[in-house]
Amino acid sequence: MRSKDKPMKLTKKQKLLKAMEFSIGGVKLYMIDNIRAEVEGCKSIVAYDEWGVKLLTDKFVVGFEGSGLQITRYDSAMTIIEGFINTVQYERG
Amino acid sequence: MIVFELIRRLFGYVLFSAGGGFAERFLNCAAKERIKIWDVKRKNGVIYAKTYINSYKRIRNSARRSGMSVKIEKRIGFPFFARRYRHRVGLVFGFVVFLVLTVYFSSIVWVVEVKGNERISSEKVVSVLSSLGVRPGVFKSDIIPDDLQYAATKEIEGIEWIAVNINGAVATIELREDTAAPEIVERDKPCNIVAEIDGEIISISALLGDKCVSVGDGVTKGQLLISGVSEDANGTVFYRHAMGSVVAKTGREFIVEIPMRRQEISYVGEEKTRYAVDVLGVKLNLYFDSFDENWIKDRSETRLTVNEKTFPLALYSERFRQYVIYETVLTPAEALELAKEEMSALLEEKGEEMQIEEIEYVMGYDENVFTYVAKCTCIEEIAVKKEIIFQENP
Repeated sequence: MRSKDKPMKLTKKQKLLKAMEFSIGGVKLYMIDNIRAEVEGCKSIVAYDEWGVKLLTDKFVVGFEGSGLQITRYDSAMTIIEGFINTVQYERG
Repeated sequence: MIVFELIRRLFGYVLFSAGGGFAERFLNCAAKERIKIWDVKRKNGVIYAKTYINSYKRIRNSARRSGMSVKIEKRIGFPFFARRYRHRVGLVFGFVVFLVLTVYFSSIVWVVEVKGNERISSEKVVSVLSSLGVRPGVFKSDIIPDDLQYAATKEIEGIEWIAVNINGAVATIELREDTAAPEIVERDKPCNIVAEIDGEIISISALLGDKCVSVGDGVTKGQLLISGVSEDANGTVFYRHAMGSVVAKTGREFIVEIPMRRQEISYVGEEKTRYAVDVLGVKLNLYFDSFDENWIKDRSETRLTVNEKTFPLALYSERFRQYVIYETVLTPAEALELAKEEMSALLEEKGEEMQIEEIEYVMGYDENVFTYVAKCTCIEEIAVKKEIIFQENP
């Protein structure tokens, strides 16, 4: 019987994915020009006004700066930000 | 996106504002409680967002925890619209009627059109298909194309195949006509060629069989012209299917009879115009007057046509005129005029079958009938086939 404390053995593929996820911070970001950003893996909103949005993810705080920013969707699956985005910034969380 | 908006409007949603506390915390709490919020905007420290009606009730917890006060700015969607007009029974009734009529009218056939016919008239095809259940006003679901196609192929002669396609409110009947089969010559059936009418032979050519008459001979009706019975040098008899052409000069009489007494209609008294409508083949009179048999009715119709498609909606304009019937007696001159017109049409029709060389007219009349006779000398084909019948000796 396997001990509860003993970690599960990962396959090579799982190890590679884990490494990639660690390296990119577990956040996926899709952008359409500078008017729409779709963020997967957002845990919460750190700050929000029409000039800037900061989203907390696993490893980073992803910041968007611009004008007329609005959050058109915000749920566990995805966060969508629309407006004129000038800057995207990653900060260590 | 339009579909999402339509669904949201169907279920109803509210545009609310939230201010006075921690906006980010409010949004995080709402997301944690799985409350659907969209189109979030922030202006002057106040958050404007949209959520469903049910979600708005749950959002107050998140607002309280983040120190925000929420307020509905606008109610959007069908539930609010329906609530606003719930006391207006007529409006609700009208809306329901509108929905029912929309569903009904979109589920019936409005137009029946025929394609691919040349010899067979469209009216005939429409009439047969109508008796089989394809006509304006029937439910599209009641039309079973496979059964119809089989029945229509049996009902209408001269078609190779027929298909009924329903596209929207239009039932299109597509068909292909039969190509006419060539006349089959039964060469194994022996026959002679005889004269159809008395005449004088002008030309004779025998493709098969032996000539029995020559050019210039006079022949009588039924006389043998080309024989299908031949004999070789050894005296053996052969029977053949005689074929050929025999043109002769003939004498024919064409008679036209005109009754001297005629019944004519005279319009007297007043004239009335009334209207009626035809909806899906059902005629509705827009008048309550009744007209007896002394009134004659002329009808003109205006049908609704859009993009060359005729819809089953028509307006009839019916003109009623009072009339009396009286008898007139024609003078011989009037009768001769009429007879000449009829004879001219008759000779034109006969002229397609034969060549008319000379015409001599004879006329006569009594108190009842005017008779006009054309005695014609014609040049025509007089050959007709007559089967050779064998009888066994007892």
